[in-house]
Amino acid sequence: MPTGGITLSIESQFENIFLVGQAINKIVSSIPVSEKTAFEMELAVVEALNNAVEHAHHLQRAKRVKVRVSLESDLVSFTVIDQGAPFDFEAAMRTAAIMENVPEVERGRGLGIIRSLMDEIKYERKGKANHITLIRYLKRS
Amino acid sequence: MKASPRLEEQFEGNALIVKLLDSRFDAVSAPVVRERFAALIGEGHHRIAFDISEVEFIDSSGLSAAVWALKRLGDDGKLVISGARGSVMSVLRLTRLDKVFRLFPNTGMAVAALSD
Repeated sequence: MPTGGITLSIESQFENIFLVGQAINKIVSSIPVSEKTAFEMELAVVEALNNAVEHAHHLQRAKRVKVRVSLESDLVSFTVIDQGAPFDFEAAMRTAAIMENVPEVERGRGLGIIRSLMDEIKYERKGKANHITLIRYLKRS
Repeated sequence: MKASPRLEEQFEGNALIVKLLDSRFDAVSAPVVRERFAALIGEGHHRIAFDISEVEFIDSSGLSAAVWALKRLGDDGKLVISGARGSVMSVLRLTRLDKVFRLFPNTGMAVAALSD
């Protein structure tokens, strides 16, 4: 499979998220991964971008969200970088785990979807940016 | 810039079919759909089949809009989903919303269920 990386960057608004989502679907399809896996990766990144635009940037269009896509021999990772305030990632993950047992909840299932679709989620605070890395391991054929 | 989401509405029997004509039900289209559901429910439409057969991509925002409408109707009405397929059905199952909504493969079956 090809290895390498690319960084995508958008203005922080919901209307731009589909651009990244569709680009990621195309990129990972070239590895190749199945249509289902490509969709799941697209959805996980879209959910992370939704959170960045709404919760980190509070819909401020002047800010930018970046997604660093890294293709390695055995995994694909997506690092979503926003300029929002630091937050308690572990607490957010615990809440997401609880919410998964309440399917009828109206909001707040984005992180739970990411948890379900990706193998690892990591959070780092670097300078004034949040880095959330989503990792999906590739099955060996 | 994406265009505003397009909705089509049609009466069949005593049910209203609301069809989302866009392929993505996401953070852009969800608020518009939610607003339309609010207006329709406010006008007294209490038996609604939400046709998402054209939708190829759904995220948590789309799911939230549908759950919001279901809760808004509460015990006074019914909202069912028709036409979910492929990856959209996978997301409904992943989030266990397939247990929350009544799902039908097409609007005919959805309307029949609403007429019970």
